[in-house]
Amino acid sequence: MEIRIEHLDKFYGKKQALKDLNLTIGEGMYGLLGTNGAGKTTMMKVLATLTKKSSGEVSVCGVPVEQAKEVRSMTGYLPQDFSMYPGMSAVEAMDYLGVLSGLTRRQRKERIVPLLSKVNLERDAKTKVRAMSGGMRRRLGIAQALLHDPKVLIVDEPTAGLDPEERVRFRNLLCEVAQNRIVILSTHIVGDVEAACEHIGVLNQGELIFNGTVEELLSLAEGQVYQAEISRLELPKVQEMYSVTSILTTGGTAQIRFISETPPAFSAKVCKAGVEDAYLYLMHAERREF
Amino acid sequence: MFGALLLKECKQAVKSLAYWAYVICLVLFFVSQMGEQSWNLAKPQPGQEGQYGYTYSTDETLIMTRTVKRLTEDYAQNVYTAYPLGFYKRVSLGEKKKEQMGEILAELTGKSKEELEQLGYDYINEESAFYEEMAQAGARVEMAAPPQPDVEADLAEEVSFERFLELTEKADDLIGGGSMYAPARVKKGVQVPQTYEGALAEYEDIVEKDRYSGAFARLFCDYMGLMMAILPVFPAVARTLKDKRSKGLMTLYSKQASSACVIVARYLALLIMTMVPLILLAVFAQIKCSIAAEAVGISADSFAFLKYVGGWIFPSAAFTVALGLFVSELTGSVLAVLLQGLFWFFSVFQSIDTLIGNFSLKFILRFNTLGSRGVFEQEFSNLVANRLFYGALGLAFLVAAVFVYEWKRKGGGIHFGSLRKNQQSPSEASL
Repeated sequence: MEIRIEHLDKFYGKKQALKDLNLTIGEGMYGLLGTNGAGKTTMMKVLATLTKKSSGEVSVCGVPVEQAKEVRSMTGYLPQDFSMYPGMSAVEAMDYLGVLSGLTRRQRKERIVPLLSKVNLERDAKTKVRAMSGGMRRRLGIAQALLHDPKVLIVDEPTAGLDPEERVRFRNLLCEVAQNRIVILSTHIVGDVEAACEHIGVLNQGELIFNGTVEELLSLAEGQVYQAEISRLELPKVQEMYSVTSILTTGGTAQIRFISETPPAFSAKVCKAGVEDAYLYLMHAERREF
Repeated sequence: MFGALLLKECKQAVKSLAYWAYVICLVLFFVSQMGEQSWNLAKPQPGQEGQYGYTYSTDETLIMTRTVKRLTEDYAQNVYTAYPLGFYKRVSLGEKKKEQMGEILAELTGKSKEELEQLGYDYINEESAFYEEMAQAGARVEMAAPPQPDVEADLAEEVSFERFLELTEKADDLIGGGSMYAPARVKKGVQVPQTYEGALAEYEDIVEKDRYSGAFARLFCDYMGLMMAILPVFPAVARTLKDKRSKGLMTLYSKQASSACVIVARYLALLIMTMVPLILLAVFAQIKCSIAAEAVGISADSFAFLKYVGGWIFPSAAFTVALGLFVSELTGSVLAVLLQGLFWFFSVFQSIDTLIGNFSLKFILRFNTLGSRGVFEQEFSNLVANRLFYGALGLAFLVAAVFVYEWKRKGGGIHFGSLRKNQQSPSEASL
């Protein structure tokens, strides 16, 4: 059970959204990181057969994406800003989408309520979509994506706009459903990937600039993340010289974390890199800002 | 999957505001047009001349005599009425065309050029005298209708009906087409008072051939067909735009159901749901009709309304819904309403001069009379061909809608007037 992507290119007119992408994604949670416009949604849509690739080979569990119907039958997709007919209740929306997924009446009856329970919507089964909060809609989105028990779950920016509590709840939910299936989570929020994914891919301007485990990503930035306490007056100058990943100001001083390939010119100590540091290191390295 | 989806789509239609607006409009139209309809049909009695209504005579001599008189009157006034594309137009000919018209009329009437010119002068004098008289009487001249010329115009003896048709066709060409002298219009016949014998024959046709309710069913189709040629586009467009407004397109597109399954289920659901209220109205009318027939000892055809609705109106609804789905799916807008509205408007005006029969390829079929079974029988093959044509066209739009849906499902679409192959909409700009 894997997703295979070979030499994938995607053009929108003259603009190239994906450039010679090569990637294999196995079972478990796979986090796709990247800035807005990096090509994450395009890649997700190619996998979900919602946009045609320009060239290359893409297969989902051995089935080429050209065989859209078959791919769709084993793929669950949660788009960015999921919504459904506002006048439908959660159960009605699930039932309608269940029919579109080819489920029998019995299957729908058996699956809908437990799934709504799983996403903590059992009490809101009759709540109309229009009356749901952003978090509730995302949870409904996950439930509908899982309705036909897909082998692959594609989740596009699911936590954007959620409050921290809802985000944590949603991440946990994704981890739960990742058992025995491939879950691809695209996001620009590093914390989501750090907390939930074993494997990470980083897209930048349509190119895959990293593909590996969280540890491998962290190892890239090892020994290059520093911590220092400086005067607030020095801060602008330091920000000009280095890629500062965090600042904590107290009175006239500022505690900073920054990335540097060479030891800094002022007193600083090397510290353990986090995923966010490593991601920023990677992005800055791509832009050759060091 | 298809049956369940069809059922769900029917429920969706019932929950839509556009659908109930459609139902209300349909019922109101029925009440306004047929609410006062008398379902009783009395057998004509002798000795009531002038009360049997009117009929069309296809007597060639009568057609020629009446037409020539009318053409002469128009020539004298140099004012002709035409309905090009169904719209009223008042035509006055220039000198050259007037001269050509004079030549046609000279052949038709046997009058000399001078005699015909004199007719024009006489009319001008008559008109001037009329207005002068009006002015002297203190009446508002501009409010007065001009007098009708009273001309003597006999048909020349040597003119055959074939030659007459050739000449009136030329006259129609000079006017610019769509006039009273167009061959189709001329051949249709002239209106004459119905005789007792004619009225009795009509009645017997209604009783025997139409089994009473057939004649009423045609009238029902004439009225309701007008509405069914436009109203179903509203629920169809509303259904398509519901997807867009819900922002659930990507979710819907990602599901396993084929595009053909989705669109055909939607189409059939809309068609069924738009036909249901019409069928109920037809059943209501059928019951009224059957009761009236029973009262005079006639066994009415209990399925006449359903048969006529199925053959006559169903293709209109099938076409309208398909066009609505196709255009709204393609453009993601209400453009379909505008297009269908224009087509409807054009079709209504196309039939304005012939409210009974003459179906050809007109989208809206008019048969605004109770009876005239003979005309209907003559036109029946045209009606079948016409309905098959629009049914097939509807099917073609449905297939096209399936292709558009599949195309959009794979990233295609039209956004803000530009065609984009496999491109995202601005709302999906995030790559």
